[in-house]
Amino acid sequence: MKLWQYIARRLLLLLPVIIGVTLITFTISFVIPADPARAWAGQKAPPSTVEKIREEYHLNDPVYVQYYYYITGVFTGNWGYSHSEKRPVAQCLADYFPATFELTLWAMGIAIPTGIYLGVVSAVKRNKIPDHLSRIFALSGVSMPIFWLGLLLILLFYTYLGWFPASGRGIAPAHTYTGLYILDSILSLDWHAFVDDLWHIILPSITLSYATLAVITRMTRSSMLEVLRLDYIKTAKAKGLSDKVVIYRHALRNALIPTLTVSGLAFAGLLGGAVLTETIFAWPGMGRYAYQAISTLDYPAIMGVTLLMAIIFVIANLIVDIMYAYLDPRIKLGE
Amino acid sequence: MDDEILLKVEDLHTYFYTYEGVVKAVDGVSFFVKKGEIFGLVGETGCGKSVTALSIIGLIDDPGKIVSGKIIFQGKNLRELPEEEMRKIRGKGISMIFQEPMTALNPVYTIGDQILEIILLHKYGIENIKKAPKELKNKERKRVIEMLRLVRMPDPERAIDSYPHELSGGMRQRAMIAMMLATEPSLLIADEPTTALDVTVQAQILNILLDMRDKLGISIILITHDLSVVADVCDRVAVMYAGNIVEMADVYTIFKHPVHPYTRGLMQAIPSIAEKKEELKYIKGSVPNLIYPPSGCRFHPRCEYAQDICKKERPKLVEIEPGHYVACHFAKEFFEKEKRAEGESNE
Repeated sequence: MKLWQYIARRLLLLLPVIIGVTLITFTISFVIPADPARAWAGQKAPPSTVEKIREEYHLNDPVYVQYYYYITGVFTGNWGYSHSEKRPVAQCLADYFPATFELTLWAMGIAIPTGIYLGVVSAVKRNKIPDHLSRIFALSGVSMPIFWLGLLLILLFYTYLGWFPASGRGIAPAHTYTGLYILDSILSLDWHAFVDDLWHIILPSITLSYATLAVITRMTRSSMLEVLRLDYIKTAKAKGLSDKVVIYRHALRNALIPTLTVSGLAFAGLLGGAVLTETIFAWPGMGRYAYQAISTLDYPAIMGVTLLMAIIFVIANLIVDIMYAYLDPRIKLGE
Repeated sequence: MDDEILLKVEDLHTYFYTYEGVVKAVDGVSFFVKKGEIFGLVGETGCGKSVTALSIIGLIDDPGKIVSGKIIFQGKNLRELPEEEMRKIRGKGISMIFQEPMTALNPVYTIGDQILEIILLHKYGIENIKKAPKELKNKERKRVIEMLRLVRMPDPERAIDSYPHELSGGMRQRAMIAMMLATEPSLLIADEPTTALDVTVQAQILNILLDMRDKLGISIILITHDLSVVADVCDRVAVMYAGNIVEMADVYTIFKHPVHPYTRGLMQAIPSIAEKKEELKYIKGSVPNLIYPPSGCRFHPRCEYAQDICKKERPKLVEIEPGHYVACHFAKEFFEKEKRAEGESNE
């Protein structure tokens, strides 16, 4: 099977996923005993206004009719109207998603190389000082609440040292191409914005990366330990190769598969779930938007965020699967 | 005589420091390997054959350690060489192949790349084959195919670009041999190279090893627990028991006139079609725990001839006739008895 055929087939599978996810979120929002029309109209709105909203958004229709309106909208780009933002959901997502995407990219950019490196060192120096240190570091990452780490970083680097800012994304670059501030500022040669945006992303991306970094470290360590005692590592050493080549060329590539799985899922997870980090650092991303939508019963927004996350998960898994096949020739796509 | 000797191991002790205690896996092993010969190292599982081999090539992992002894290869004591120098000997001077061809090749690289790697490393000092110039790779690719042909790999042009999982066990072992001989080492250590293979494939692989010895003039240390393999291909044999060598001689002597009670027990345990017995013979008892090995001769708890001295003193490996070494307090007696018995049967 050719790569593009495989990708096309996997993307086709998105359809049932979209339908499944919307069905579930739709049903949940329908059975929750709250009156969205009342919430959107406001506490003091007259009953006639509430009724008008009901009419306008088909809230009086049977649930399957409502679902029909929604799902046809999803496929035609109309993801509903976000009441908390007073504009279409699709527009909100287009605004907030790049912010989250940028933050996640940076967090993963920190977590993956650092995690793999620490995991390798840990495995190679098993039960020695570097291993103990890296395990303590990883264990704190897994067990430390993310908001606490965020607050500590703000306290130290913003309040006491004043090195980094602690809220927002910084100055918007002169031109918007991708919605990723740092990339855009480079593209529009806006160095002032570039430095400012870079400074702004450091603390939140470190905060966001720590938990994932810890998981990747632990995963890499354990799979490296597994691989390092296999026969082909002995073969590689018997060939006269240096430790560096044995570890990074012969062992690591084999040990990366579980790490890759974890990274893919973490990446997708961070894209949709950076709620705490985004809230602490006032980062205008999807997590904050989701939080706001939930607290204001903004159902179209909740469903929009959920749907986007589902799509991201599917695509992240697809990328991970393609990378499996690249890393390990025993894995064939589509079999 | 001495210039014929390629490798000489003297009083080698390799211990493993585990939580349960110190495992004396190899405890005073001495032997030598001549140029161009196939030297068999025989013994039961866990007797220290593989540890001896790994000690020679310097790949004893934690918690293991070579405690004392000399490993003299081509006149140099390998134990005194810095790791840097030792790496140059591994794969170039001494190569090693392992028991499990299924797991001894790296699953994520092609056979060709894995063979190319060792050639580039020792011929040009290039460690990363990705950084090697293209022309060099193309040139050496021919050498890889030639090596694969030499080990009688079917369809070498195709095999070179195959991944290990696409080949059968026998083909993988051929690839392994091709890889480890591509640099034309002087000594190949083959650790149970045929144990995991079918009998028919086993014979093919052994023939390839014999062939390689003849064509490349290498010496081979063949580690095995299979006496029929030893009889087939080895020139000289050392029998190991519980971390010691108990007897060493040429293959004819070992099979025809074994002296040590353990060797004799082994020989009697070989099933024979000629004389069908009611019950197969075996050596009573089991291999001792190497953390608390028996005092004196390590075989004494299982030996039917054991005397007081066997419990107190460790017998030394002594030459009882030219080229025939035995570690037993009663070696001389057994040897003479054997000689007499042979004399009688000849009359």
